[in-house]
Order: sequence, then structure tokens, then C-alpha cells
Amino acid sequence: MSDFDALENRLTRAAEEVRQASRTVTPPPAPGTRPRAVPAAKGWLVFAGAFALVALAIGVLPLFDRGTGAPVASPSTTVPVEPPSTDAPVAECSATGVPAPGAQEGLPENVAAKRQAIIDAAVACDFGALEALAPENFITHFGGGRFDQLVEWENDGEGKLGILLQILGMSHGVQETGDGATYYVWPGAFAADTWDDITDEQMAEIRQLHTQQELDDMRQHFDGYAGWRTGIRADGTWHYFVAGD
Amino acid sequence: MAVARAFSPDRSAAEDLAQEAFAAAHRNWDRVSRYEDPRAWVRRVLINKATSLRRRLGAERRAIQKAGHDPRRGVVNDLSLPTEEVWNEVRALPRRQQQAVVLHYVGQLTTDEIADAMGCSAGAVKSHLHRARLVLKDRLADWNRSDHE
Repeated sequence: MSDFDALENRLTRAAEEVRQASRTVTPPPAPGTRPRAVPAAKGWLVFAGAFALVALAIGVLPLFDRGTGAPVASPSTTVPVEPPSTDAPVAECSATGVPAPGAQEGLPENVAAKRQAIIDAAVACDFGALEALAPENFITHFGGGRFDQLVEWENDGEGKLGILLQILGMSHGVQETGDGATYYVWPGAFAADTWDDITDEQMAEIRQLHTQQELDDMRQHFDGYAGWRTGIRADGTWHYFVAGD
Repeated sequence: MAVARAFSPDRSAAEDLAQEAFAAAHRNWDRVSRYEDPRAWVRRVLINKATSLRRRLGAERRAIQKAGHDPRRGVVNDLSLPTEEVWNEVRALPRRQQQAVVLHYVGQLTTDEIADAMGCSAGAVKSHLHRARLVLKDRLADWNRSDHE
């Protein structure tokens, strides 16, 4: 048997054991260990999530009725999965308490849908969902920051998700780049070529994001606004959420 | 749950991971329910959360070791030692290789499904799997040696 065949066997056996173990109930903690606390309100979620994932893994739970989009019960089980209650606890992050912006006019369908999806994920402090909306080359700072940076800022107590939510509620602008791509950008001030082109309304918006000192510094170094901004390409690709240059 | 378990150092962390993925599906149900394959969305969220978990656990482990404690203390073991060794090695692979291996062997997904979940091309998935196998093959030689010692 070649090394690769032996490896294949070992991985296959290890995978099977994981699947088997995942179908069993949680064993009691070993003596001397302290079980991890699970808030009572989340208890059912542990059960429902674990049950549904096991069912998905073994392919018995269709999960959704494709016709209606409604959750369906598995035909192979008599144990009903209770639907989540609407008062389930939600995560908190820097976006907590920031009002969710409403719909905005003048956006192509792709861009409007992506903007709404970003807002939904940010309001829910759902970094997993947010990352699923970002491409691999998503930019959070020009030193090479990718999506992970958003999580790191949050973990460091300097979360920027609130700012993201805030700017998506501001006016938007449209930018054409050298390669012919069209970007919809927030706040609209970023689309202005020079500081003089920024309207009073746009200036009032960016004053909510930056102190006067920061804006004065920006004026010294940049031709136009270079503070917090986000951009979605016309095809719906969320490309950046960044500040600086 | 099995996929979550392979991404996690113990069952408890896997349950948290699975719970978070489904809680996210619930919170975004209005949107997710309209997708052609909501399961693919849940898988993607699970992978992303596994990435966050990997980062968080790395920091925790370093902090615990720095304090002079055993980072494995308090872990609930539900797998045999040889199997735990395999997944420890898989979790030590670069992130994208780890994801490809877990989704291929545990999730039993096709290459296209893995590509969709990882947000890359099918070719990239094959490349990640190939490189992972090369690394794990060398580790297998070590496992075999230790098995005979």
C-alpha cells in the first residue's frame, strides 16, 4: 500500500469516527473538568443546531421547502425541531444601537441588494454572514488588510462595524475608475474630486465620522475626502471598507 | 455538526460553532430562505466562523501556555487518540488546506460544492487538497513510526 493510500485510509477512518461521534449525545465531562456554561436561553439552540447539522450531514433533512421557502420537518424523524423564538439573544458589537439605514433610491438592483445584505449582517453583528458577502481580495486597509481586520478591530475594542452601518445610511456617490468599472460609494463625499466639490450636506455627513482636526489633516494631505468609506461595484461586488490612502 | 467537530478542538467548541451558524441562519432567515441552496450558505458561515474560532483559540492557547497551564485541560474528549491526532494535524495545516480537507473527508462534498463553500475555484480546491495530502503524508510516516515504538 502506498503512503497516499495509507493516508487516504487514515483520513477516511478519522472522518467516519467524527461523523459517528457527532451523532451521539454529549458525554459527561471528565472528572475535574468544568463544563462550559451555556445560557439557558441558548440551550434549545444548541440542541436544534446540533440536530439539524447532524441531519444535514447524513442527508436526511431537506431543511427547506424549495417551493415556499418555509422550514420543513424531516420525514425520517418524529422529533420536531422547534423554530427559533424571535426573542433569542443576539450578539453585540460596535454596530449595536446604530439605527439600521433604510432603502436608498438611485442604486442598481445588484448594488441595492448587496447594500441591504451588508446592513442586515452588520445589524446582527454577524461577522460570518458579513464575510460571506466580501470577496477574498476585500480591502480594509491599504497595508494589505482583508476582511479579518474587521474582526480584529472588533476584538481589540475598536470595532468599525458601527461606522460601516452609519456610512451606508449616508448619501452615495458614483465613481468611474480607470479600468471602466463603476463603483457606488458611501459617503457621497468620497466621489467628489476635490474638497470644493463636496456639498454642504455631504460635509455635514463626514463631520459625523471625523473630528474637525482629522478633516483638517485630511485636507492637508489629500485632494479630497479620504476618511471612512465603502464601495460596491455595479455588479454587486463589495470591494472595500477603508480609511486613509 | 461533524464538519464543525473537525474544525474544533473539542465537542463543546463544535457545538458552539454549529449553534452560531444556525443562529445566523435564523437571524437572516428572510434572505437566506430565498437562496437556491440555503445549506451552502450555512456551510459558508460555518467555515467563516471556524476561521474566527481558529484565530481566537490560537490567542487563548498562547495566553494559557504563557500562564503556565496545560491548554488541553478541561477539554471534553469524544474521539479516540489516533483520530484526535489526525484532526490536530489537519487543524495545523494552512487555513484553506484545512477547510478543503474537512469539507472533502468529513462533509463528503463534491469539489464544486467545496469551491462554492470556500469561495474559490474547483482548481484551487484540488490544489489545496493536493498540498494538504503532501504534508499529511509526511506526518503519516511519523504516526507510523510512533505507532511502532
